[in-house]
Amino acid sequence: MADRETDTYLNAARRNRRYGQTREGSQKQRVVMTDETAHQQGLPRVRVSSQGPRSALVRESSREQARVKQGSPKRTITRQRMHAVEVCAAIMVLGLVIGLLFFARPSVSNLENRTLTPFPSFSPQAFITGEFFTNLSLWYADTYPLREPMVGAAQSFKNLYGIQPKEAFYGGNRQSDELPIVGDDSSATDDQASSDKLALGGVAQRNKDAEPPDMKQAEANLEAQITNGIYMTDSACYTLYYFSQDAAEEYCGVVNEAAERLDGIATVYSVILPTNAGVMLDAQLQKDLGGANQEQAIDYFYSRLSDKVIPVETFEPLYEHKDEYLYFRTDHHWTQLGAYYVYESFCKAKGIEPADYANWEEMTFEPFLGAYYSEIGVSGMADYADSVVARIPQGTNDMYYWLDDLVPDSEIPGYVISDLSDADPTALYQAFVCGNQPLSKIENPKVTDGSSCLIIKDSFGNPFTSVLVDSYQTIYTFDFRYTSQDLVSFVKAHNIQDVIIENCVMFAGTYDAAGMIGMIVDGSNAEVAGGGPDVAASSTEATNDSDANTESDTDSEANPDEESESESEA
Amino acid sequence: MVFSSLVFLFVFLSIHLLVYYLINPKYRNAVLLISSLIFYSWGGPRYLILLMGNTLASWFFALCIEKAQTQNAKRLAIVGELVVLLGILGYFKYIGFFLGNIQAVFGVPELIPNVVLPIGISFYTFQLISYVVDVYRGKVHAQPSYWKLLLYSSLFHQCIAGPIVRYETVQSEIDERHPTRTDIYYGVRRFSIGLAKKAILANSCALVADTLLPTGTGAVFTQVTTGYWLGMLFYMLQIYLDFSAYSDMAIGMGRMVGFHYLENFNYPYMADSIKEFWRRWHMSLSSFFRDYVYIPLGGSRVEPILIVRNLAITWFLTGMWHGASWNYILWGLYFFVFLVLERFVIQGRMPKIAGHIYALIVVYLGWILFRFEDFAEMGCVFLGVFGLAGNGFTGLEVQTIFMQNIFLMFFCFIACTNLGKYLHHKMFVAAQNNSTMLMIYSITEAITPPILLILAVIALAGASYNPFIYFQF
Repeated sequence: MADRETDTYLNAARRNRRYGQTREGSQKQRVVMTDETAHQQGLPRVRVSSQGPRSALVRESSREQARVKQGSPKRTITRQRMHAVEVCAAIMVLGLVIGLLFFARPSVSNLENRTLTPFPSFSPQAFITGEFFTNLSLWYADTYPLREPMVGAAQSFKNLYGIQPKEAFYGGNRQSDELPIVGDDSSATDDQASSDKLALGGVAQRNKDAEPPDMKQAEANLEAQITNGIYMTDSACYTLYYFSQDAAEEYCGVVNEAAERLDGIATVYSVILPTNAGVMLDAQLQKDLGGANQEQAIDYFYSRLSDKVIPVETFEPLYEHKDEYLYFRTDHHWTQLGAYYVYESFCKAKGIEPADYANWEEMTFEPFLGAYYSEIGVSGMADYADSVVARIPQGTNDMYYWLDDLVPDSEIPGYVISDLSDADPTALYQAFVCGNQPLSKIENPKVTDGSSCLIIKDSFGNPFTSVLVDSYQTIYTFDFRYTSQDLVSFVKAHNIQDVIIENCVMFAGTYDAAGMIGMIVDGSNAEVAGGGPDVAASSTEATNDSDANTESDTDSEANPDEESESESEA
Repeated sequence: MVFSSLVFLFVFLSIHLLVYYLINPKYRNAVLLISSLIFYSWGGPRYLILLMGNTLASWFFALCIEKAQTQNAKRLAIVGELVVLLGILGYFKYIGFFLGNIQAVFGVPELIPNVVLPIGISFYTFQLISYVVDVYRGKVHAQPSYWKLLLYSSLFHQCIAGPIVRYETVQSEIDERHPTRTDIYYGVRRFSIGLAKKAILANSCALVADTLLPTGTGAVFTQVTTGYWLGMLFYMLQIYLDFSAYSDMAIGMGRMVGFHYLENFNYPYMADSIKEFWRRWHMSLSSFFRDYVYIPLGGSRVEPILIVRNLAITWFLTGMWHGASWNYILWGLYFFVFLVLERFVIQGRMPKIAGHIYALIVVYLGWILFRFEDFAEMGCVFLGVFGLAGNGFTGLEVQTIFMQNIFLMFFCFIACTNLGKYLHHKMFVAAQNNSTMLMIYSITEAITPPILLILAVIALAGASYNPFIYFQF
């Protein structure tokens, strides 16, 4: 092979020599060509020289000269090469110019559903440490005008890397803890380590020594629960849950503490929801993938709650209806119908009649391409796009929410069910209670018994809140990741009777969720956030209490105003 | 600033090259120097002082050596240089590691200073040392101009992540460069190849490796056997493609403005022995240790026992250069063992194919030492690749990743060989006497760089994920 190759090469050179004698080339370019080809000749040159260094060198140089003399092929090649240089230069200049189109720079990405990196603020400190320029680079790339289409192109390009299998699994490589058998106390007492934790009355206690969570990191960790362990078939995706006993203890401890602090003030309900995998997938398959049996896991959580907390049955009511449209296929969330079945179960626990869901007005938004679609980016997923079916409660469809719950009079009017017929296909889950907001409030004018509840929730709580509307006069919600409120003073200030702590089990099973909810429960959340509403709520507590009882509607609206004043004073 | 970022490509490099080629040629060195200083300052200007100070010391000591009348004065100057440069490198790179070890053994000191590693210090320190030693040996003349020496040490092409360019390679080109059109083309093509290699191949391999074998999280303890295999395989691909891509870009950018840097990689995964691997891998570093450590110690022209000593010292230092952690030292000594084995036991008697497989396996396992600073993780992965981690043989996640990246994997295999270079050469030869082939060849030459550049930009934009592994050194 090698010899044949060298031969061809020599023949070519000989022919070139003959040809070259009739042509003249510029001396300078000859040198270039020689140098260039010398690089390309790495392979054969070594082989030739192995036959005899000196003769090879002579042959080499005569060959080079020969080729250099011949004009046409070299000229063609050089001409084309110069085109390449010109095109590359044009791309670079174009890139520079497009980058300078500041007005065309986006500030949010619809594709990724996030705010893009802002332009960094300059400070001498940030300059010296290099932070300024690092962030500048980040800003430049993140808000580059053509970024969005390029990200899309890169995603499609990635499909060429391999074959998309029919059955796929993402971000696994995790294993559940062994699930303790509920009701078998021996497992707890035998084990010295866990018996320490379970010391008080056999229910979970909060670990007071736990560090407060780093909010950004905690949010990222929670986010990771969704994508860490996605099982995908050719018709849907599912998120597995990995049980961690210590984290479960921590979460239950926090819920128990909430009930303790609210003892005699409000009733605490715990709603822990299974993920789509837990209900829809075969238990053995989940086990094979390292996941936990979610029915047993939720039973375990509930077994660790004190008797001051009322657990709401969730797995069974959902499992009974697993043939219905309870979970999305391209998103990790559940449907409003799923939420309704858990709501029915909640009503049973509370001893009230569920609302007349069958007669609510129904809206449908489609196609819905959820988080799995954005995260995994497998194009075939669009074939089983979802539809978001949302029914509007009979009591009201109006609500208020706060983007910044530290600014009390900044409430924004919205809808319990928003009409998202024209919205982006990836955004349709936002139809429920205006998405994940730090604080929101729903007043139902058709109920006048002064009943009110507070839902501390994750995003699964959004459809759940929407089906609760008809059962209360006033509903408040905190998104546990974003709120700055303090549970006890808020409950007192707004005369709330029921506190529902709702979490999907994949969030409830993390230290991060336990830490974040813990900060709401003990009020450190409000201190960290600046102390505004917390201080205001407790200082105006007494008056609010009575006010809320008599003129509930207007006064609870007015409450935030007072808070705003006290905040601006501070 | 990393080469594989939009801000580097479309702001820094575009403006730099525009200015460089539009300005009066006599200011070109100034443009290069100012660009390099801006480039270096991007990660925090405070360490610029270190770079400029190190260069100042080397400039001074080199002049002292050249002016010195006696051998003793020369020696004094070279010792001064080594004390200053190695002292600074030692403080900034190794003090935490050193004190950490002392603390682990003796319990003192209680506080270990957290020294941040200045960018590129390992590379430019070695460049400057090689310069002063070469002046001492009379191989090159001392550079009278501080600014030109600073240009040599700070040149953004290679200052941050190599290759370690010898002063003798560029000494005349610092003063005068005449890039031809083919030089510029070659530079552009080499840069595009490097950028695409980094942005498309290396980054994608990194994603697979980090998904299967993340470091520092303990997640490796639960991986399955095939997961260890595939994860380490992609890491092996990543580390070569990543680092050689960086060298490609440096060589390419140098060529665009008329510098001819030496090659840094020569298809190391095609080696037939560990000795050959190290002649093909990061050649500027291995030749540095050869010329400035191994040979001065006596090299191979001494008794066998001293050869072993020389090899041990060289490979201990080579390992340590890669990072201030025991795993890198272990990695260096691991190669020492195989080099001794090859020199005294195998002695080139292994058949070519077997030698190739042996070298690949040794290098593959070596990357486990390199990747995991945590010894528990390292041990687990070591057991894991032999199926002893106890987590089962395979799992659905590994199968998914394997299927989704199977073409990427084969493409990377090819990218590690000289097949592309070989085919390119074949086409070139065929083009000499065949007009159709000439057409095909020249069109290929024309479209390759722009296509690679565009693909690389798209991949860069598409991936917020973009770490350069070799930045920590």
